[in-house]
Amino acid sequence: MVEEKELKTTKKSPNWNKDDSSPILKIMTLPIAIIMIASGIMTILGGHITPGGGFQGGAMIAGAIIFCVIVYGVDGTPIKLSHKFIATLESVGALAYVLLGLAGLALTGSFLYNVGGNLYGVVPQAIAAIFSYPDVTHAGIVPYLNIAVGLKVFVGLSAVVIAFSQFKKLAEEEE
Amino acid sequence: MSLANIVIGPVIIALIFGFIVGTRLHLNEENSFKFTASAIVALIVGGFLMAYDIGQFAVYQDLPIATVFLATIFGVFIGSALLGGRAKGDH
Repeated sequence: MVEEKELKTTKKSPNWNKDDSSPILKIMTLPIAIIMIASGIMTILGGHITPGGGFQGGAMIAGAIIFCVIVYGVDGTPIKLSHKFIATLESVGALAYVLLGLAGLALTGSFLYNVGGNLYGVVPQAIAAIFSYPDVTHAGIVPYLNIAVGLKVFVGLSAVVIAFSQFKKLAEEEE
Repeated sequence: MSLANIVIGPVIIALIFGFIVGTRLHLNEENSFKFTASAIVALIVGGFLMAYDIGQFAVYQDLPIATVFLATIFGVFIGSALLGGRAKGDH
């Protein structure tokens, strides 16, 4: 039978707990997560101009949430996403995407027609102006679609990791 | 480049988006490790430096900084200050 050896600790870290995250990680996690969230939102909102878009930006924001969950644990994370929040945002994202598609269907007969860009000039200018994104690119509904996708991807990916963390916690409690 | 050409739409959307994420920021004794007022100031200064380095989107001709990036950071702090950490319910 192999004897279990005690963890060796140095004089500098006598209270080192192998299950606890390093203080350096804990100090840096939240500021870096906020920077990652800002980068993700910038990627979403610049999706029609720069490389990126809704999925990529949403994944970046989810990465920030996952970073906090891994370092602090699912119970102690500073950015807590409740089930209600996740469900609401996911629904809003999906609904926005479908409604924008239905607007194109209702006005032109084509689902997801770019009502704001109005490439074929079939939509009255007054209605096209309503859907037009307020910047110089005249991308129409594309930025709004990016926002909808970004919302869904952000909460979806975060939900996966949060669920796995809670499964792990349940399994550990049962042991 | 001038302030008069600033494109306000993406900035507003970034503020709202950051506000939504900031409302989920729930700080307590365990997870606000060293995240004091000085850390927030350092983060804002760092954010300005990063925004200047990133620059604005390619076709925008307003300011030489990434306004969306900064708006998101401020949105997170505003959301956290107004509704984060003290929101009742399913935190």
